[in-house]
Amino acid sequence: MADKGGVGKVLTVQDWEQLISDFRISTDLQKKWLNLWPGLSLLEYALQTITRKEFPIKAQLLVFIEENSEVLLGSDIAPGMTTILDHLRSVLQAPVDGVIMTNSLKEHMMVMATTVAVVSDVLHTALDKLESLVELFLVYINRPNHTPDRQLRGLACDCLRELEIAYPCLLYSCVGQLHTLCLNERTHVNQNYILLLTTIMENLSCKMYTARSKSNSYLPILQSAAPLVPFSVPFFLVSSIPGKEVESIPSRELTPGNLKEFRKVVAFLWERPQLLTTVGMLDFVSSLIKIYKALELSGSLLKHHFSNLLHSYSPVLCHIVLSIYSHFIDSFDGDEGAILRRLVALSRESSQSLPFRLLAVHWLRGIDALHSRQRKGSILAPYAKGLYPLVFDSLSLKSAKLGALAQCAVAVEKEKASVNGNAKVESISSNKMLKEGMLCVSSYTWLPPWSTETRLAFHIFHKFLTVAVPHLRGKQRDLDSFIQSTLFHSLQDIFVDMAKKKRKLVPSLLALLDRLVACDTHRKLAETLLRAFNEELLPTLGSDRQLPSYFPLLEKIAESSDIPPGALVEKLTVYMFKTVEEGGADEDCLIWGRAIQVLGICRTVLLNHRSSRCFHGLAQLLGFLCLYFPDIEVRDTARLYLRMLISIPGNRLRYILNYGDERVEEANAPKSAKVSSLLKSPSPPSYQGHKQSPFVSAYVHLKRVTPLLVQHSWSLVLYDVFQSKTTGALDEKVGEVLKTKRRVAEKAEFLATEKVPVSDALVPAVVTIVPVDAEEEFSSPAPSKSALRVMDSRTSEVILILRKHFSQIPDFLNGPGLKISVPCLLIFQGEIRQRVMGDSELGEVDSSPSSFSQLSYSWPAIYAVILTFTTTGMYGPIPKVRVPFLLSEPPQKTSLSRNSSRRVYQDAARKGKEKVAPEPEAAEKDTTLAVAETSMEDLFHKLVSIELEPRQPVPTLVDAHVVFSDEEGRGVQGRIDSIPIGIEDLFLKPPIPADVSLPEGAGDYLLKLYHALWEASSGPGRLGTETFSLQDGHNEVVVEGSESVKLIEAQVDRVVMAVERHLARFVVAVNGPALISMTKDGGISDDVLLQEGVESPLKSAAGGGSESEVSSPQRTANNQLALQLDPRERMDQRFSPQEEGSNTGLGSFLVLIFLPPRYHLLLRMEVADYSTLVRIRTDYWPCLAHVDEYLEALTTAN
Amino acid sequence: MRGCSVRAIWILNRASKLVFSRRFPTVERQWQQACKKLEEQAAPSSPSLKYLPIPMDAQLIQAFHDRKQREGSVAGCGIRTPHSEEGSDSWLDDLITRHVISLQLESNGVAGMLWPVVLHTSGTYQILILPLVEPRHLLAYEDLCHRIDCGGAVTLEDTENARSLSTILLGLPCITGALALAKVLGEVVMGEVAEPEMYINTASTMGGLLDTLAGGMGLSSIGAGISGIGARAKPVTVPVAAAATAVAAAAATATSAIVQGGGKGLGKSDKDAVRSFISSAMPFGTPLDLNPINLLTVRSNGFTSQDGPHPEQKQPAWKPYLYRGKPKMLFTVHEVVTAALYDQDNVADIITLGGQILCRVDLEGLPDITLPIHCPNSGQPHAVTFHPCAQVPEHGADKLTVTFSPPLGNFVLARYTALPSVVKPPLQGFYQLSMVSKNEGAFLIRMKLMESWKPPLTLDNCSLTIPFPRRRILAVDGVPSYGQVVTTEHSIEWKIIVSGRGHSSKHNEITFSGTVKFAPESVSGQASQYGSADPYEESDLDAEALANNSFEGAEVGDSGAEPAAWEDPFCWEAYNYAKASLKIVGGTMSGISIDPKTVSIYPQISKPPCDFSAQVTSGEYIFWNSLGRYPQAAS
Repeated sequence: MADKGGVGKVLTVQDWEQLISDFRISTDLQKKWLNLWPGLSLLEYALQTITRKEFPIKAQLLVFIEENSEVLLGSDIAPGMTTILDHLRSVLQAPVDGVIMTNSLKEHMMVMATTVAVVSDVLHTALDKLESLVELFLVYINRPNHTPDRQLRGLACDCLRELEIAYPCLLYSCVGQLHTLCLNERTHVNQNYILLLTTIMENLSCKMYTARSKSNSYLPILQSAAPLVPFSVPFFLVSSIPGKEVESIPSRELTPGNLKEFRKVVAFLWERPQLLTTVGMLDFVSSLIKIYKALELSGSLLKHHFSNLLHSYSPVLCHIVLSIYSHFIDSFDGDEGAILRRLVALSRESSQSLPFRLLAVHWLRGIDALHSRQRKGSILAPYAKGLYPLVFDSLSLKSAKLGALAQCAVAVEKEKASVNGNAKVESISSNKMLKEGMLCVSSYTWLPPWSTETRLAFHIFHKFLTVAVPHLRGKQRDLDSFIQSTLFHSLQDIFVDMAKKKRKLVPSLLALLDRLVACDTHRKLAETLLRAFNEELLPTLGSDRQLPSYFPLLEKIAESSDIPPGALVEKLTVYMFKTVEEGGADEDCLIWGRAIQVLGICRTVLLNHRSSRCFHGLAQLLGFLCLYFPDIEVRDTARLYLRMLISIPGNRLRYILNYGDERVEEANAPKSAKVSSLLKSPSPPSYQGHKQSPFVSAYVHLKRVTPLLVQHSWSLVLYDVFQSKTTGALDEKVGEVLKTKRRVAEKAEFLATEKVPVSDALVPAVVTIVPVDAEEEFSSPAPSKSALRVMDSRTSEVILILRKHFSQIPDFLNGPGLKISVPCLLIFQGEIRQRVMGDSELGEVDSSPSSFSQLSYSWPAIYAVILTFTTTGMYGPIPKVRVPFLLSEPPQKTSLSRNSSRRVYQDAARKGKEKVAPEPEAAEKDTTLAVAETSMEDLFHKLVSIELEPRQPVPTLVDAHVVFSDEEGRGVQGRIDSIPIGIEDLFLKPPIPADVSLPEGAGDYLLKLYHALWEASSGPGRLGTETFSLQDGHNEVVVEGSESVKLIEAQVDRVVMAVERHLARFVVAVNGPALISMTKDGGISDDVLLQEGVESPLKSAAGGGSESEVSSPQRTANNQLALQLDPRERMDQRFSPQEEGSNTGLGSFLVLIFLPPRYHLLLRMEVADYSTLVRIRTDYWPCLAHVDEYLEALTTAN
Repeated sequence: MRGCSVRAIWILNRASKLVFSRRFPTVERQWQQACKKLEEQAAPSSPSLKYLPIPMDAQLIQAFHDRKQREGSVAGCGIRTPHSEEGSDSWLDDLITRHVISLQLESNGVAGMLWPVVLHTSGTYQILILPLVEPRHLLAYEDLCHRIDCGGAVTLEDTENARSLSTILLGLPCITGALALAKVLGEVVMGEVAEPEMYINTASTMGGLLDTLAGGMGLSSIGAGISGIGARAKPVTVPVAAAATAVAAAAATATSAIVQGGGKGLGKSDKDAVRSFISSAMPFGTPLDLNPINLLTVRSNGFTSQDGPHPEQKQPAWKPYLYRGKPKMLFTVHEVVTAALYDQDNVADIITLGGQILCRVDLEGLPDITLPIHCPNSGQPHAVTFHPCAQVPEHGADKLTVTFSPPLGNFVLARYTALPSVVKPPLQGFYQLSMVSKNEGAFLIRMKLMESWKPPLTLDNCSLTIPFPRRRILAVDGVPSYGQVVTTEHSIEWKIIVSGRGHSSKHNEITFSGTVKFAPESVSGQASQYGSADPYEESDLDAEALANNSFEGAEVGDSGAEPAAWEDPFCWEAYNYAKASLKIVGGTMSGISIDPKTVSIYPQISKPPCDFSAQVTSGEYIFWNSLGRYPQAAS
């Protein structure tokens, strides 16, 4: 044999085993063998081996050929098929000796030959082989009741059936004889005959007799006179296309006569179905159903004959009935009960194996679904009782049953809703189903949360929640009716109750909510539940040590923008009070952790809610944390959040809070061009909420002309927080808060004295922010109360002055208020734009700076720039600024050679002149670089001025938004850098009445005003309820003063320099000869000095009254020099400045600043050699914090 | 759609190594053609399906391994967890996916899903069967795996386009067939092919039966398990005397399985057994007979000219041979009682009774037997199901009469459940355990045995086991009023009545009280369990909770209970209970019985010897600690 195989080697048993297993493992190993042994020779060799004696793995070999015939036979089937048929014949003809030749070998050969024939499509590759194979089998089966070879006959039937399945209607001409054979066969293999006949009948009815006819003449199907052998393949199959044999089957007319024949055969077939085995029956009925469908026969006959199978304990037989049911639902009308009862029983039968019991529940639900598909109604509900899980049911079965129960519950609920109370009361209520059903997993309430029971319980809760509202593609479902149902309410109650009592289940609840949220259809359920938690659970929670268990839930509530976060924040506030108050020294770490969690929730609130909604509570909580929390990190974070909350508008705030997260996400996400350029852009990308270019802020800049003294961009603005407190509307809780604050403050002090490093953030915060408490010791004694009642002449004079003053102030409520103007520079950096656009949009464009020079012929510019501004601070509308044209800034000079830059500059200059300046000839003349450079500044920087109308004099951030067209005419818009507005921007000179003669009278007036205001602001209610009407007389205001002090530790010259530089405009008087001389020398403007000279008029003006009263503030202010300077003395002192240095100081500046719209800031700067004490009075106390910072910066800034 | 055709079968062992695989090329060809057809017909927008050939062995193992990784265990988790991936089984959120699984395949760049793969675990083997479905079913399932936004495989609004898993399963009998096939294969591969055991009461005509068995079916030898019957004058079970053993020695061909050990059935080479079973039961992949004993007999014996067909009647496919020998009939009713006894006022005890009627009818020819089953008025069985050979009777008033044509050997004629209303539960009483200290518990058991039961019902065997799976018992102090106590490391076993001894009625009330001392719970174990456990407990009380080392309201043995398997009814370890094991002979609890005299045979022959016996055994018969927690269910 070996020579035929092409390899001089005989395959041993071990070799074969190896080969067989290799062929199964992978195609690579197959190829390895096939390289050694060509397929065909392997086949031949295998077949020869089979007939050998003493060869133990014959069966494997045959299976091997079956499974690999495609590989072994190759493309040319005929030779291989011939070999196989030869061997099959010789094996079948050989007598059975029980040793070499056994029945099972013969059977196996038949199976193998048939399989190979089918797989290699012998119909189209070797037709004659097919015919001889069929003939061979037909000869076998044509011996009914022949005993010893009955098994072979049965198998021959199977082989023929396999061929018939592969080539439909192959045996259609044999039906008659087969029918007769079936009738005659009495041994146990009659099942094989019946199945063969059924298969042929199926093919005939489904594929051949497809046309309907009423003609009486017909070609009988059963009465075929032709003998079985010789057999020839039907012509239509011969000419068919491989794989599409069905299409070539000629359609024949089903006449009544044929139909009768069909009925006859079918009637015979089901005569004694119990003769078939269980699985045989499955095959048989499947075919029968098809025949019935094809012939359009009534299913009731099938039902009649087979519905008894339902009472068999074999699940396979049960499923047969179900198959009939699902194909002929109409025939079972009204009889579903029997099926459902049986299935319920099957699911309860403990002797059945678990998968079948699970399947039974599925079938139940499937039938229910089929039924409701047909008739729009659930029929499962009455059987709910049977679906209650049993104690010893396995957990998976419990799950299946509870799932079905959920379906029942929903069905009952729907029925109730549709019938409107008119329903029969017999069915169990949905609530009862839920409660009783869940009883079997009630242990989830006390078992650990990772137990299977808990998982099961929440799985079922989810089922109950979702089964009522199934997903439908593309349709949005209405959940309202379900949310209003009693079922949902009881579920909701269960959840709330569970959360209340079982803290450890909170994570599981959260997971459930998450799952609902993740689904579009059911998101609303989660929101409803969250609302329920907010309304029903939250009030019952104590702010005690168990609260942290609920933090995740609170965070979820905070995430929902529809639920007001007030209650939640309040709960957290109380919790933090308690925690801080009670926290022991050893619990620092724990408290810190809790505070971080609380801050996390605050952040969530900030992110998800409009700030107005949560403002008050959050500000209180954060304010408390940033003042009193022992840990510095928490304090810092709280302060940061508080400042953000107060100063930053909602959208931007959310963006800022999200910024880090997004970066992290982006870093993890697959890189896209946009993202990477975003990260590379030099300044932080702007908020992207609108459709705008995120890169604008990278190359369009708006900068203040004069930088702010106080450099931080956030100013702590506390107007709202603390004003609400000054109203005195302190509820009980706040009282508690204050107590706690005091205690904490004491604690802080204690810490400070112990030299424990206390955060520097804490102390100034206490000193500067809390005005009322802290000022007491510094302020002068409050004026006697009698002044309020008895109005003396001095007071009335003060009032007169003030009346006059206030009547000059425009009433911003009834018209345009006073405006301040902040000059800024608008800058466009074309180079960066190029780079950004290159990265993001152009992709491949070289972004190196040199490319800019190549582009010099078109110096970048932007056109029709419109800047709009918004702020959340208390300001009136800000007018837009329009800039018709703006050239790009020159690129960085270092990157350009001198020559090229010259060229560029010239080019830019020309372009600029052309477009901006109407006289082109002027530009042409400016050819030198120097000239170009000087004009560049104007060209490249557009000075714009932001007009602000303050409603309250508080610093703020002004967000700027730009719209412009670029060179290509594309519209670009985006947000650009925000402009900080500092306190000094708000400094104005008070309006001067028209009747004051300018300029001489102005100084006098201002000094008088200064003193009057100084007095009026000496303390809250100094002037009682006296009101002053504003310009139009519509509105009246009250002056409520506060005062404060600030010690500037700086040398005198530095102070004087700072005053000259920054406050000169506002100085109304300089006292003290030494100081006067210094300021004179220092070059303070003549105006001020001159006005100092007119100090006496004030004195005379005030002189009408008691001088001592007028000067009383000054006196108490530890400086007797004020107002008593004689001009001559001053002159003297001017010439003898060196006598100063006493501890009484050198003199003082009186500074009067008007804060639009109607407030004032009065400074009395008592200058000494090494320090300056600033007494501050204002009728707008919230500005004190900023003034404090400002004064600090005044001398430190250069 | 054919009934149940199988594309491939794989068997894996404990280590997930493939020990057997079989493909059925003709079935595969059908699948291929169906896929092609779908591809050609598919409208451009409709979901498409690419034909994926059956995976090679290496691929399959990889896919199975991947699935295990994906789903967390061999059977998978079943329900959706946060780790579930879209397209995976657990995404469907239904526990049937533990039994009907999908495998993700990738071959030659074409990825696809293999579904439905029936997974059956038998002993240490995992049997995978891939039945043939229509491509649309696979598409529907794939769609489900991706579609459902939040799980819940069943929707009420099930339409032709959007099917639910339930309707898919309802439309696929092949899955049911494959499960049945898998179950039989599992028995074959484990060598546990057996006929149902029949309990035989020795008091009756044992000798005659033995003769019958020995001469049965023209076979020459009997399984070893039976040989001792004559020697022991005790009730025994008759093991399978499957015809199989006969020609084993002569079976030299590779295809025959060698049968050993009598009752055990298929033995030596599991692979050979599986191989020959498959080639006889489903030569082309479509199972035609799943009775391994019959198949084996036919394969080993073949047919001789003596085995002629019945002259008039057709021989059923499930009865390849006609019996020849002495006629004999044997009926047994075997009931299993399960109970959950609470000893609580507010919880009713649950007692259920399941029974089956087993038969062995050795009669020549193809007779029809009519068997009246006597049911007491109060104990009418319900949910009665029958062997396929039986013609389902009309349900009568107090009698249930079954007519059937018996197959060979022992078989279960009918199964039923019944209300145990005739007699009270065989054991009544309570079990109490309370922990007097951390490591010591006091317990008390008081029971009444067979209260109001009358002869011939006797308690043959009775014992009670109290398991402490997570505590090690050091000592048990206490003596029962009757019987003996054996203590093992993790349980106390109280042998109340040892088989054969019988018991006198004066010992009907028995008690056992005492104390049990446990070894201290190991600290390390606790720590590790709680270290991982307590992230759930988010509160400032964590430290205390840890110190108590137990969760809310924990009881003895609650701590560190492993999560229950999905196949368990609940977390057994979380409860304290005593489990009874008993056997009652002489009758049934339900009162169902068969009077051998009323059995009629058609065509009529002279009455053969006919025996009836009955026994009751216990399933889960649990006394819950009435001082502790208990699982319950509404009924």
